[in-house]
Amino acid sequence: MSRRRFGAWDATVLSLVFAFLYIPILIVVLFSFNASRLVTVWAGFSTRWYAALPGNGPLMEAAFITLRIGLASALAATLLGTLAAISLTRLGPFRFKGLLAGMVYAPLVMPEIITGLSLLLLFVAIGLDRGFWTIVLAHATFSTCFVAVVVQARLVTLDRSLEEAARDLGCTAPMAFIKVTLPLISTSVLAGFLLALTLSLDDLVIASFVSGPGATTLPMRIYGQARLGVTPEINAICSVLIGLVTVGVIAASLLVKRDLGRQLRS
Amino acid sequence: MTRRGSWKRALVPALPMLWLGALFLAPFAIIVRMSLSTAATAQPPYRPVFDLAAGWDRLRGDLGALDLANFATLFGDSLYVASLWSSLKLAGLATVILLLIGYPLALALSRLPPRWKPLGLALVILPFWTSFLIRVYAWIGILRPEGYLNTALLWLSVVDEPVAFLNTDFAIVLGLVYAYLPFMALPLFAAVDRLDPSLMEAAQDLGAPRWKAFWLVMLPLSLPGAVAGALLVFIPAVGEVVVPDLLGGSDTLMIGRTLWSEFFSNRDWPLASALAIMLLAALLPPILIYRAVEARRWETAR
Amino acid sequence: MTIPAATRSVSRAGRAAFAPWLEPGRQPLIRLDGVTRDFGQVRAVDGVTLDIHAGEIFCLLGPSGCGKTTLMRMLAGFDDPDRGRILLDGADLVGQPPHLRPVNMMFQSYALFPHLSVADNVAFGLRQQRLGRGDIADRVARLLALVELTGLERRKPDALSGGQKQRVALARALARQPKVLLLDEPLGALDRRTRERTQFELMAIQRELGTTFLVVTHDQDEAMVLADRIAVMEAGKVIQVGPPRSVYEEPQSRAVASFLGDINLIEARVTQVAPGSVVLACPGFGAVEVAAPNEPVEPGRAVALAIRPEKLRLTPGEGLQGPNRALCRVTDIGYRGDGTLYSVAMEEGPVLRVSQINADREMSQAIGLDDVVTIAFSPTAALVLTR
Repeated sequence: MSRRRFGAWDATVLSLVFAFLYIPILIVVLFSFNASRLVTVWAGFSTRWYAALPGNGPLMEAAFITLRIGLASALAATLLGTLAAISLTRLGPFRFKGLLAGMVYAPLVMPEIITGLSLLLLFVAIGLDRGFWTIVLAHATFSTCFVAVVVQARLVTLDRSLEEAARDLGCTAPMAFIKVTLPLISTSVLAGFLLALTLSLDDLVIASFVSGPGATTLPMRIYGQARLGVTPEINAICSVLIGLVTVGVIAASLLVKRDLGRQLRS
Repeated sequence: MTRRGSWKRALVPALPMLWLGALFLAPFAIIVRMSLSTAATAQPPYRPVFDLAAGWDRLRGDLGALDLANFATLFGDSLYVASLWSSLKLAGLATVILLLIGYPLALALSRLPPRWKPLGLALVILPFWTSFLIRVYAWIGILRPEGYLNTALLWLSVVDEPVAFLNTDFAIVLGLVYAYLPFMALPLFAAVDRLDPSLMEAAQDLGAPRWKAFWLVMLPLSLPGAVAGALLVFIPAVGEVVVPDLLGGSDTLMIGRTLWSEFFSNRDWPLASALAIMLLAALLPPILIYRAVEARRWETAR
Repeated sequence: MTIPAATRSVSRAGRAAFAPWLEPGRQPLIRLDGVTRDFGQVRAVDGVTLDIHAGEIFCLLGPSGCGKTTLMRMLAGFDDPDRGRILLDGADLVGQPPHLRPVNMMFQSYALFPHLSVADNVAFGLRQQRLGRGDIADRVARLLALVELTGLERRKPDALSGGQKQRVALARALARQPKVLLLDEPLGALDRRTRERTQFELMAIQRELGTTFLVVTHDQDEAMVLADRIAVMEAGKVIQVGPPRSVYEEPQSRAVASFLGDINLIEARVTQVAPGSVVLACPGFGAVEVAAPNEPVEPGRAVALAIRPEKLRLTPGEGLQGPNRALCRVTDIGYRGDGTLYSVAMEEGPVLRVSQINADREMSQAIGLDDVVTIAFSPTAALVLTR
């Protein structure tokens, strides 16, 4: 807030924080190109660990399952979360609104281990076979809350009179939502979808609880190996994931940039 | 919007409400029931299993089989209380350290020239988009006895023999700080960046030195952001599993990990459920505070 | 020397002949009949009954929270009254959704759709009517010409100045040729210079189209210049309706008198009643003769003597003694360039505000702080208020 100029102190703080944040990740990427299996000793540049990845059947299978779970759960979460956000900001008071708000906020801070355990017990209680679909259900549930918060943040800053203007100019309420509100919140809905996707691809704890035979996700596989120690294979697969995320985030921010710039100006 | 509701409009909240009710709220009732059951070597591994088809008498017998034995175990064996206490301590320590890093970071970000601000923010958020697991994993390689940190320290002759960083409480706190930094930085930045710059200037104009202006003006005004950030870090950190498991030692007690091993190694579902309830009870006050703070923040944002 | 005749009457007061509300039996365009709206415990609009005639610029004037915005939203259809009727051309609008009402609104924030260009914003309402492409293009072009924005069709609202946004909002709201245009604080978001120009533009456009305007504002200057008639609102009720001149010069209550412009209110008592005039016992002045109020009063009645600062005459020193005069001491001087506002204290009685036009450059120096002055007013300068 201070109008004080960005000074040497601030530059030092930012440099230290960014070094702290990025050096560990860079080390992982760097040593994924190490020719030696001994991860501490640099023995020359090599891409052999990457070349070996496609041949690693279980790993590729896990990656494919994880991606499918991510897409399915993120789609469901985007729909449910957007509906929840609209309910909380646009419908005025209704019965159980407080309950809905509570159910949207509580999972955000709920330790994953409790969410995971409780969902597993639910699936056992209703006799649902654990596997692909139980993970999708679990991920969609907690992602819904994150999408709702992201979309809600945009909706509360959106001038209510925009929708009223559309209705004044001849639109019914649902039409006004489609023609005016939806285009204006589309970036946030997309951001919510990407967030849901990331959370799903990233999740280890909840998936471990609710998965069953034949549905091992990538984080579960990486975790299983990471417990045994650092290996160049994990470095390589981690680097691929880091690269994908970085490219994705940059692409998304370029797409969003125009819209963001518009928001910042107004 | 017109005041007169219609049944079509009711469908909009109904869908997320039913979903979250069934998959978030209902499971809590099941955890409670499970915590009152007894572990068994069977499939599923607990008794009693409610079977409505078996008739009323059987059901009544099953209900009678529920008891508080698991909770007696929890409080009888010092292991469980100790691991909850140690989780609260480690998560609290990480939260304090994050506040100490977070304020200078948020202030530095808010002072960036407008052109650079989005980039600075993006760089803080970017690690959040990369896998949590990978970020924790990265520290194993650094902290191992033969890891990069020890190699560097030996080479610089700071130490004579490798220091045991990995598998200590130090490593856990470091991992928590590293993994949760974006969660602290963002609410703090939002709170600090929104304040009118002339407030600090007014305080200094009225004779307060800069540190005192920070203490008397900036701190109270950014407190909701700080509280939100602190709880956003503290609550999940108490129940953390991955960090203590990968970075902590075999003797490190954290409740998330204890629960995890009760569930997966000992297959004691009822005791794991009782632990979950104990954890939830300990976290309920901070969760309620978080909810209240967030509600206030939404109000003022409007 | 020739004095040029007024070529164009800019103020609404110039349209002396336009007074449909005085014609007996004339059907109003809008009739509000006992309109009441409660928000929980608060009665936002309290039994409002009003007629608004075709072609009028009608202002709802009042402080924030007086119910004027709620009243306007009920006309637009964003809210409905708990009791009462809202008639447009004799048909009740209550319960009709906003998109079906032949009424359009210019929002206070303008509410321009940020994702649509200027032309698409203006065309928005026409597209809902399913007009042909060519028709829409024609009408958009004509509307943009009307508000002098031709050439900016492709711009996005964010790339417009405040005054341009205001004109896009006006064109968009006029596009569907509403029977009534609702304007919510139409000049509120503009800086002072743009405001004055826009005021006259609004009136010119209204005159050209003949559309009925209902303006909601808390700014009395805006209401005075724009309106054919003003309804002053307070706490959900309309407390006086009339042309600007009558609301200002003949307020019927202390509330209206003090809300519009500055006024001195002195508590007094009626002592004599004569045809056409009354005599009051008034602290500081003694006996005061004033034109009789509209409502008959009897001796002994407690009333307020109301007199505006510009209607008090101020002369240095102890002038002539007599009725409607008092000796005062100057306690405060506010020099404003074109005029000066003095606070003067009477020996016994209230502190009054007196404003003088500085018609001569020397004038403002004639009176100093603590000087003794004489104030005086004519019987028709002051008013007797019974409420």
